[in-house]
Amino acid sequence: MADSIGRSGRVTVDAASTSVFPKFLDRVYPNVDRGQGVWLHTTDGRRILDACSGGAMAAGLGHGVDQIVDTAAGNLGDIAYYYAHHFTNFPQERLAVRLTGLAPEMARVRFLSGGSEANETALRLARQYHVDRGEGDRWKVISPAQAYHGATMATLSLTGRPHLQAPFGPYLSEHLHIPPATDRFDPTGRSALRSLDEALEQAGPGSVSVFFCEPVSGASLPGYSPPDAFWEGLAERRDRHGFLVCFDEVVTGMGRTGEWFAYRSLPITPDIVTAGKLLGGGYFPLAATICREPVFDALVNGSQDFDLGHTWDGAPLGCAVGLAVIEYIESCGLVERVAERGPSLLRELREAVAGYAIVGRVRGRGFLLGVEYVDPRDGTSIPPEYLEIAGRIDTCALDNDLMVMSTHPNADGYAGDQTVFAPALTSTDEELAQMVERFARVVEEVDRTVAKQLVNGGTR
Amino acid sequence: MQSRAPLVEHGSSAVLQLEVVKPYRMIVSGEGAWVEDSTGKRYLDAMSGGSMAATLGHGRRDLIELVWEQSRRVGYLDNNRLTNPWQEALASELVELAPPGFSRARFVTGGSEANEAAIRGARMYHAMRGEPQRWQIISPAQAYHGPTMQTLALTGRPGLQGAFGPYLRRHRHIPPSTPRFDPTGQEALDALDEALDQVGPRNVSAFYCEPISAASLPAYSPPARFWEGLAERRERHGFLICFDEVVTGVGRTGNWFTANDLPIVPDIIATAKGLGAGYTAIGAVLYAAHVYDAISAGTNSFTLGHTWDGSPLPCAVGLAVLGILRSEGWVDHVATRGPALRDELAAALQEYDLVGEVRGRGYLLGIDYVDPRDGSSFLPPELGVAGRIERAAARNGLLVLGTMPTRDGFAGDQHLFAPPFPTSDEDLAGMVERMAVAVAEVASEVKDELGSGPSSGGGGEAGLRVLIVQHEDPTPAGFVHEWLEEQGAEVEVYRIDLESRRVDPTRYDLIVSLGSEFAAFDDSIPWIDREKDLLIEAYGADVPILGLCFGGQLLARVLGGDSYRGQISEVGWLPVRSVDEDLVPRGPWFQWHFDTFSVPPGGRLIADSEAGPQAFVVGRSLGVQFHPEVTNQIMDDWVEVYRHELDDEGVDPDALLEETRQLEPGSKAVATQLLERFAGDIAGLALPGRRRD
Repeated sequence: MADSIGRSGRVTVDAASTSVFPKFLDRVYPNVDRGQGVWLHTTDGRRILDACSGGAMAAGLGHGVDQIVDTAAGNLGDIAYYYAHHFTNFPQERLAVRLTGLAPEMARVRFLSGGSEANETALRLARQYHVDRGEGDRWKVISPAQAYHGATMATLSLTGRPHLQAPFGPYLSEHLHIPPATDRFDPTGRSALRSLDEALEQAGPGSVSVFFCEPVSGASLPGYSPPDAFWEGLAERRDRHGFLVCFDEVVTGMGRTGEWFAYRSLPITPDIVTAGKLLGGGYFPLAATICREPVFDALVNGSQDFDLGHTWDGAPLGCAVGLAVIEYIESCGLVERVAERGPSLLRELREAVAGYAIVGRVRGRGFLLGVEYVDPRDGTSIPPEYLEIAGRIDTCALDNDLMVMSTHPNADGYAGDQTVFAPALTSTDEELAQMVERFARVVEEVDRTVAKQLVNGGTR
Repeated sequence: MQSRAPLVEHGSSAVLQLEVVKPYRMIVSGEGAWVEDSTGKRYLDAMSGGSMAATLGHGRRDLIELVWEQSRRVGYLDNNRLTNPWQEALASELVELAPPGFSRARFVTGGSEANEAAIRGARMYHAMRGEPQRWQIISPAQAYHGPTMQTLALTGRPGLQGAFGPYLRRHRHIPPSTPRFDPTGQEALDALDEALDQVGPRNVSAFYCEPISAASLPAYSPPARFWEGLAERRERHGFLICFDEVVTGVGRTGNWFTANDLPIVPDIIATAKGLGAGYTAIGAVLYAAHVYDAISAGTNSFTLGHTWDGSPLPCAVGLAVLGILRSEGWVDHVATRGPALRDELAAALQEYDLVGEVRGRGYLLGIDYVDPRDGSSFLPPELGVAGRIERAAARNGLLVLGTMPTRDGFAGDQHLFAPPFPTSDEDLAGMVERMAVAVAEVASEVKDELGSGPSSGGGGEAGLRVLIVQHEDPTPAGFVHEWLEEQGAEVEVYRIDLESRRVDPTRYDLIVSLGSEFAAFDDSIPWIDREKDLLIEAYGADVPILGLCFGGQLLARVLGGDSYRGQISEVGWLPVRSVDEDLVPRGPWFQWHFDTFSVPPGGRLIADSEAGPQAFVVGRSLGVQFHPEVTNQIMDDWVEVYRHELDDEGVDPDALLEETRQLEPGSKAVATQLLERFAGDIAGLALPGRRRD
């Protein structure tokens, strides 16, 4: 079946020639029917080098790795699916033990199918914690504005990006947002802390349920993490005001930053952590909401009920794959490799794109790197939208058989065009070198195009 | 690596389960309509995987193999920049199967995501058409569309929404047009008009509903008149209609989509469960051409989505599922076999006053329970009838799902009955028969409870209800029985070796399992599975257990400890080492055992001896190796019946009898202390008739 469909595919697909409701109606989509490691094969024989782990950073172990599939098949046992109401199952129990072993500060795990579900579950868990402790007033969420936590309405309301939220505003809860502590605007993190204090005061600290953020930003400020002073100040305010801290590690969890979980390298331990993408490794949709013992204890001593779930929560098939992913990461020493290789990869990337007028900061941790673009006319400002740097980078990259993911500037002014450079943790030195080299070519080309446009016509 | 415990206790698990402290049984295998748990107990699965997703039954090797094969080829790809042949093919097939006029599919990972995407699609449609004021959603109150905040806001059930109210937008809800309250559908239409009027019809984005209700009003669909009236109002007011076909889509009701069977065509359809059939997590949103056209005329991007949208693995499995449904003819089979199945279920349940209605379409059937006193009202919620029938069914090897009464008064106790499509006639008959047995058991209990006046349903001020599980004639509860009666307990002795009935342990405040001449590890004992089930269910429902000797070993075993032949046997009055002498005094206690056991995970060892553990506490339960129940009479009987064992051990029977009589005052005092401490401190039982000698 897989073969016959694969061969029958058309070369490229555009909105007029498909039954899919494509996400971009003006794009021509390459049709990919095979993946091997960091290489994607299209139906017309192109080989695309994947520098973004399948595009959204899930395929962090490379495509089509037999060993992962074999281990997962071995872990599965004799039932693929049963809902969590009637039964638990071995793969789920084992994976929960493994995960709390890799995140030793954590005690309990709820499994889900994706990052949005995990972040929704985290919100519900934080809320249930407070209600079960008799603090029913706590429900508000404070989060950095320049963030992304998912596409469901409740997770979309955790970002403060009107651009992204339009036209869904009427469905969104009015939570409070603080400006991100970026090196551009707030290198010490002090201004973010001041904003946090203001937000707490504005909301009334007794009404805040949780502070929600990514420890290292994935798509919104690729590879960026606030300075230690911010995390320390956040921990101090949590002690003082009694809200919880939830880390969205959907992108960063499972080794992406050179730690099993990014929180382990920060001077704060969150109360709730979510994981996704790399947890299933691109081999099954799998995510998790993980909490510390006191959060669990509040439920045990309270409602004892957390029974809203999704069809696939904790089903054997997904958890069998999750176990195989962990076994593979461990057996290949990938977390250690990423920790060790990340800094030199960052250096290589930085050197390769240095000197181009559109390139600002290049930053990151482990294999989660980000390239920030600037207005080439002054070398520091956020580039104007009409230059379309992000879109041009992605298109030009695909033309050069390279896949990266860029994020667009947004109207709120906290961030401009950026590229996420997040190769599979299994990428060889040679593959990494090729990615960097191709990417530098792409930046060069876009840099030239932008320069030409600025010379020719200025603004539109 | 794999725990052998039949029950996974929250103390020995790292999973945050749906019910946080409830111990869960472990499922280990499935084949067709059958599944098996780690105790070897087999169940007929009339819930298709518990969630109705596993429409093709369990253990389809072709589909599991496809999962692995596709993963080797390519499993995951983001669809912002790339497409893949499987996404393309599945989208084409789905829009073909959808009602006429549907042109586009967007893939997601599950039902909540599908419903959220449908809401976004409807909103986008209006925004792009220059009606940005349209965002309100009207939906029937008695519904369920998912646990994300926005889908939760689409139901009007405060009981379900629980603590999450502050996150929920206020949408309008209408009462469901059930046969009970609104058989014609006219009242629902009136309520819809009123809701439209209240929010302003030009502010409404969508009417959101299930064409046939799944969990909330199992298998109920409003009458044609309601659908016609709804279509007419859509014409008039310009909102869209979204069908949540997460359960009903892809064959469940005997058509590819239920929408194909109704006198109305929706604008957007969300589907999920059956598309992956329990072999992959996938959902899809289908858009009518006019919806897609309006959006695409207004924008070049409609991007919000999720990591796995349209990836090769879920789409390849979805394609294979459609292929199997088509080539093996299951959708037609469900359409033709469904009505007969409904009639068979109705006939089997006909004699019970408790059953109000059996309804449904295809393999989505629902049972509606009523108060047998008038044959129409809802049952008193405190009786928990749906939950009890669900447990009784599980006890009898059948998996169904009960839905609880709702506080809003739109629905009472109900059951879903939704078998996998390929279930054989024989297994369907087995499901119907087991369902009837479960209903019969609970129906007779409920009749008693409703007949017994004001204290119906709960223990209330009545004495403790205690079930003593006795395994053979010479081993009764002796002193323990006497003590319980002194406390005013209502004691029922269950001779599990003579009676074949199954017992609902949740009707008791305490279960006592006695000694036996058999070994607790001997699975050839005819009644052992029934007793294991009983103890597992009791423990799972937080009913305390007192296990004595064999009973203590079996308690340890069902909770994941071991029971085995010991190196040392003990026969006679012997002391124990205790870490809690208030609870378990040093004794001497009467011992007569050749086997021993290990304390289960999550248990606390309280006492031991050279031979092994002597007492352990787990949750509200206590297991002991020795015999606090022994009396002179019991000892006389044992010495007579089991004389050969004493001879083998070199124990002088006469001396033993003499010693027993001499020790009696002291042995009764320690046994009393043990029972009082257990009942008060461990089991937390109220002892109304408590008095000291």
